[in-house]
Amino acid sequence: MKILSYRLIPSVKILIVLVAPLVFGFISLFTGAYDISFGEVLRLLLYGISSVLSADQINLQVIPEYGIIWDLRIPRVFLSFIVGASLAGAGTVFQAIFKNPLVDPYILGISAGAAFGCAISIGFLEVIPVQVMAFIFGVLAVFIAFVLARTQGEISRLPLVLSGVIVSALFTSGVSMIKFLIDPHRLQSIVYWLMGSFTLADWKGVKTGLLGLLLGMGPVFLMRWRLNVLSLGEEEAKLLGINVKRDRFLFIGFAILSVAVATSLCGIIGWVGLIVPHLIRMFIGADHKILVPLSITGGGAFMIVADTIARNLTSFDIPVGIITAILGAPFFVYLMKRGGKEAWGK
Amino acid sequence: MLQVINLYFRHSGEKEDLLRDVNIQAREGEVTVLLGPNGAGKSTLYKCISGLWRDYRGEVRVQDKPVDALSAEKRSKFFSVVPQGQDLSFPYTVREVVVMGRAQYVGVFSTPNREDYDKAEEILELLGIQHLQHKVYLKISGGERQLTLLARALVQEAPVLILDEPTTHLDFKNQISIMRHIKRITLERKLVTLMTLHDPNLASFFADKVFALKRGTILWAGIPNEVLTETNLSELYEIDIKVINHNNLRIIIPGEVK
Repeated sequence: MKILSYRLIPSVKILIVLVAPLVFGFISLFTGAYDISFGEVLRLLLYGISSVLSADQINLQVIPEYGIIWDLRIPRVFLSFIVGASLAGAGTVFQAIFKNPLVDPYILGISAGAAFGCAISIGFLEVIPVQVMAFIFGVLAVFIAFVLARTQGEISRLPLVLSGVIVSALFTSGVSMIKFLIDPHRLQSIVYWLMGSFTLADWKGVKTGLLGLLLGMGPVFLMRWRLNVLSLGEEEAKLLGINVKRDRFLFIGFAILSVAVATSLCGIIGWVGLIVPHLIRMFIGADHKILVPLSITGGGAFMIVADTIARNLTSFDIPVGIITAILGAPFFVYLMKRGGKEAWGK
Repeated sequence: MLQVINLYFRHSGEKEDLLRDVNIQAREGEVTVLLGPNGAGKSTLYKCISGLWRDYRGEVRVQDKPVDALSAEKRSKFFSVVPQGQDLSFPYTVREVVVMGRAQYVGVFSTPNREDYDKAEEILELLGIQHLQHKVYLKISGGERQLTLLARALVQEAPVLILDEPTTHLDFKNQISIMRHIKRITLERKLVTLMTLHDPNLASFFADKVFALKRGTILWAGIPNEVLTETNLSELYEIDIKVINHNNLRIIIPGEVK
């Protein structure tokens, strides 16, 4: 019985979260504004895979349906996964590092900072890649939030959230300023991208996003257990033999990297980084050894679902950020009421 | 052996020493208790010994090796510290909390291995709380939490065990129970155990050595039966104190109760 409850049930739960993005991603391919029958989607999927494997070219590739599946829907599902995984993974990191279950890349102002960096790059400094600018301003955002919140050596919970609000406001108005200043042709691309949407998803974006996810969340995954110890606070972690400064620096750096790349690809998307780690924690437990990988796959699955809703709810694409907020806000209220001390810590 | 030699500490920019010429010797297999009123400098002393505050003057030695040049994280090889209580931000299980004591043995890009978890379980068994291992730390009682934190310190496998008032927040039974555990493990594992206590009676029952700290300096020190006298304790706590002998045990009561 014991083995059943302590080993088997968690393993089943873990498996569910691990395969969730595959299942939702697969289902998502069959939906969309352009009507393609179930059988046709399957045929095109198989055809695409076999043509990659055998490289024999039949002219099925010229029909528009093929392009819709292989150049629109599939990259879009991949990109949703990558962005959701990056944001939720980073959210898990920040919650542990600041021992604060109320923060995520959006609340800390990193998303706004990264967006500001992207806007500068798009608007004025095209020589510097958007991802680089996003990273620089993401770091700046955390730094400011950190300095504002730091009183007597410790980072207190509420001040950090408030500092994030300030930083967010600062960079959001910065973005507005840029929108006001730049020429109208470029304005359009900034506005579109800023709303938080996967409409522009393509294979190039998938490649960039995947690189960001691997470079950011790869090391975080390897170091993940240390988040347990770091979440005890600075002094405790030191007394247990952890090099707190170095580890915090690494974790924050890698997490910002993922967030910056994600933001550069799809604009600002909130809530995912906050909710997904909470959900997984309530579902499986707080141990970061498991929480980190499952937040990554869970975040990916969550984003795939949100985006599938975003592109199927009406005849045009709703920005996915709106969907995550609509899904997220009530869930958050529910968490707050139900979870109490356990979900929020103390 | 743990030695604190001529230790002085003051915060930078302040005029007054928080610790003045503190000398302590604590031996293997012995429970050494630090008594002292609030604000005497006990916590300050712990922070200096464990390396969290390093700008002290004087010397700290473990087994004749000076550790003053080492940072707190390096000193985790020498000292394991049991804090007064731990407020966790996340619902970790007891097993997960205990295995965190293995942090210094876990590589940066690694997670605890079988051996680390086995060690955690072994210690939980030693303390008789293995049935709690899958319980959430935030949901267990104060006594169980204190035992969990003790277990976390023990898996660190450091020669010196430091406890900051391990009996606060505990009921009478649990106070005695945790002290017995500490005493037994100190003997079994040949640990150098240094702890602060508020209740001089617990020191009388369980300590092998007592040091009295007042206003940042050692007032008196020695074995309980010799130093826990009415004059010494009255001087330390600045109240009238009576000491009664019962079965060769010293029981300390306030001189005026009603």
